[in-house]
Amino acid sequence: MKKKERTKVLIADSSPFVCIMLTTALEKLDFEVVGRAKNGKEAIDKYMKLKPDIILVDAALKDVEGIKVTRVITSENASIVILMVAESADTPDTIVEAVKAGIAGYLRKPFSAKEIEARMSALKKR
Amino acid sequence: MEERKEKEVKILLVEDLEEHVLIIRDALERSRLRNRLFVTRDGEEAIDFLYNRGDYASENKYPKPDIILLDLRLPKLDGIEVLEQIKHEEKIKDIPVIVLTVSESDEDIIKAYEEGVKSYILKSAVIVQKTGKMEGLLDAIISLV
Repeated sequence: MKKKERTKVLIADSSPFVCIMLTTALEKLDFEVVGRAKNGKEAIDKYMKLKPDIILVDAALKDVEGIKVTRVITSENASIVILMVAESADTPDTIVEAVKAGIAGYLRKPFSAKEIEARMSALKKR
Repeated sequence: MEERKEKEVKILLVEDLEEHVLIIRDALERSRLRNRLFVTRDGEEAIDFLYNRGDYASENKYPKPDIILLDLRLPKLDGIEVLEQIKHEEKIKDIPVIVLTVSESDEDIIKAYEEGVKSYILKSAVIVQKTGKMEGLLDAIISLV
């Protein structure tokens, strides 16, 4: 039987810790994390190269903001699912603007991801 | 290494559209996350469930959920009103809420954000666009909030 193709995810977040945490959580659920980007420009470049199905974008990417990244990518591919990773500092207006730019929704930090915390603490104890 | 049994995630889905209930139930049944799904069909029923009132009086049968999946367009009490009640009640205000909606209205987005929902997802991403590719998306969101 042909193996089902996994859903490809690109993670764009300036924090390596968040990238690792999201990667671990997503891979456990059988997603394929095809790439990570630490800034907006890299996110757009990697999107073009890797053609993921889902992109997780940090709203506060330093150079090209998350919303601009969304606009560039949705103008190229309207059916892509982009989820924004929001922080407490983000205002509701940022979210409204992001939805208008074409995001499918947002996830808000901090992530609880209890599974990840448990694994991290297990590693520390080794 | 000792195998740790994954904890079951108790999910309360507040959704009036039967078709959407079926799609979500189906996706969660095939999910890698161990879960137990409870469904209420309108806002009042959701509040009764959360307060263990009326038909939902039994705390054993209807336990406090770990996650609430909330539609916004609901009969009797709409989703934003349900959200306000949840967030102003000490016993249940910390339950993470994921809004699953078709609404792109500024007012709903702002209100939901101000009430502290952990996630706001357009149904088009997880239900309407159900191409198979997006099947695991709901799992991912549930496991992260």
